[in-house]
Amino acid sequence: MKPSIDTIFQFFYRYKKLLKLIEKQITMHSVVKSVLGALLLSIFVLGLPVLVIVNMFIIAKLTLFLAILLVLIVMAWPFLYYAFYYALLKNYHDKLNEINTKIPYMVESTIISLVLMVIGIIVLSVIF
Amino acid sequence: MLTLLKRFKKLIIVLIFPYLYVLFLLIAPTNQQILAPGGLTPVQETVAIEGITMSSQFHTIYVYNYYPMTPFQGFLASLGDRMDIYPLSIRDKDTSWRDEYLSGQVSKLSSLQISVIKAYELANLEDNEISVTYHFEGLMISYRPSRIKDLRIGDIVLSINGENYSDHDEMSFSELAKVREATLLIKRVTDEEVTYHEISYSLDDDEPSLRFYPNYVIDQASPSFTLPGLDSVVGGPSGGMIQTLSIYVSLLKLNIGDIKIAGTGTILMSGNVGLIGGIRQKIYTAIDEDVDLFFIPKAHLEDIDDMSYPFDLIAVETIEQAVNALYEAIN
Repeated sequence: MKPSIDTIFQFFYRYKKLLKLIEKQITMHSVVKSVLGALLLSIFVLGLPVLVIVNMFIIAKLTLFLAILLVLIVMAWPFLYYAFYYALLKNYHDKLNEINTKIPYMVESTIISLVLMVIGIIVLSVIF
Repeated sequence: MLTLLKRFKKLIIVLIFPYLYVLFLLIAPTNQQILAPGGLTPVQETVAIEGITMSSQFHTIYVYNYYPMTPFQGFLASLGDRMDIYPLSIRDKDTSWRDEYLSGQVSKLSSLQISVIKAYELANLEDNEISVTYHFEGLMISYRPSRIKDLRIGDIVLSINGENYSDHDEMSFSELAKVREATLLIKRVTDEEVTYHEISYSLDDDEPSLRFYPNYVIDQASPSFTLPGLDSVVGGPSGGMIQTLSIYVSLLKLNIGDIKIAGTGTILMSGNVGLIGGIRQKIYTAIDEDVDLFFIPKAHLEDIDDMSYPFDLIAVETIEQAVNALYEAIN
């Protein structure tokens, strides 16, 4: 048990260290542009599948399946958003290419995705 | 960001036109609406009577009405015969989603009032301890052209051009309400505060007329009752007949065995069962939900003569016929 807890602590220590390294390189201006760009691109990519699912809600038999699919897409959104966010940041700051952004990407996407999953489950259990 | 986009310039140019086309199919509104099968609502959750366990076997049936339809939804609907596409009427186009919801709630309230009254009256024939007294108190507005902002859906019309509801019955007062130019005295209930307003309107030639539902106030009922179903989002008057049957069976504590009963059809104070919309979609819903016994208004038989269904279908014209048919089914 102890080694696994140590591994988690080491992982988070590494994540914090990488985050500090990234923060040293970036500016508020580039972060704002990357956030807006990532939001735009991720919504652009996931907009169509979401609209297809929303349109298909007219098929009553599929309602539960479609709602679960919608929650899964919403859960996938942070991964896409952070992928675009870091890609745009690297675009603005070349030095970030030398830093491992995979760990911050995975940690942040997973946390947001889990939060959205909990909200999704609560909404599904209220509706169905 | 522009640097990143420039890197994928060719891919973006290739994809942007199909993307916009698909987006158009998914969001562009048309002048049509879709009726699709829905589900069942237990009447048990709609009415609560003091000291009585409501029968759990009765269900009202609802269908979905999607408007305005998108081209993609039209494509989906055309793949099978479970959904029907209708053009939007002038009235539909003039009704917002909020007004549609409020209108459904108004018709549901009126339907529940009449269901309770008719069920208590019918049960009184079998058990004279069951009683109800009520009076007619005007008409509830369920549609008005949206430009007449002073009138609200749910307002109760007490007088029309000086003629008071108390001098009329439902039929004659409804006839009066068909005028296209009127001054109405209305009663408005907002957060339990009652206000009275005098509102005049004149309808244009191409404008749809106002729609009303009767407002019956129940002065006394024994046993007493509440209507928890008024808090539900499902609206509309089409559950009237089956609600009446359910209340009747519960009041008389009839044992109807282990059968799943559903039905559709409005209930009028005369006892007649009125027509409803989306009968085919309601039949499909009943098939999906494994219903054993299904009540419909008799006039709808010709609309479903090409359909096959696994349940017993009972077509009636009046609530009395429905009660008799139920007794036959039980026996």
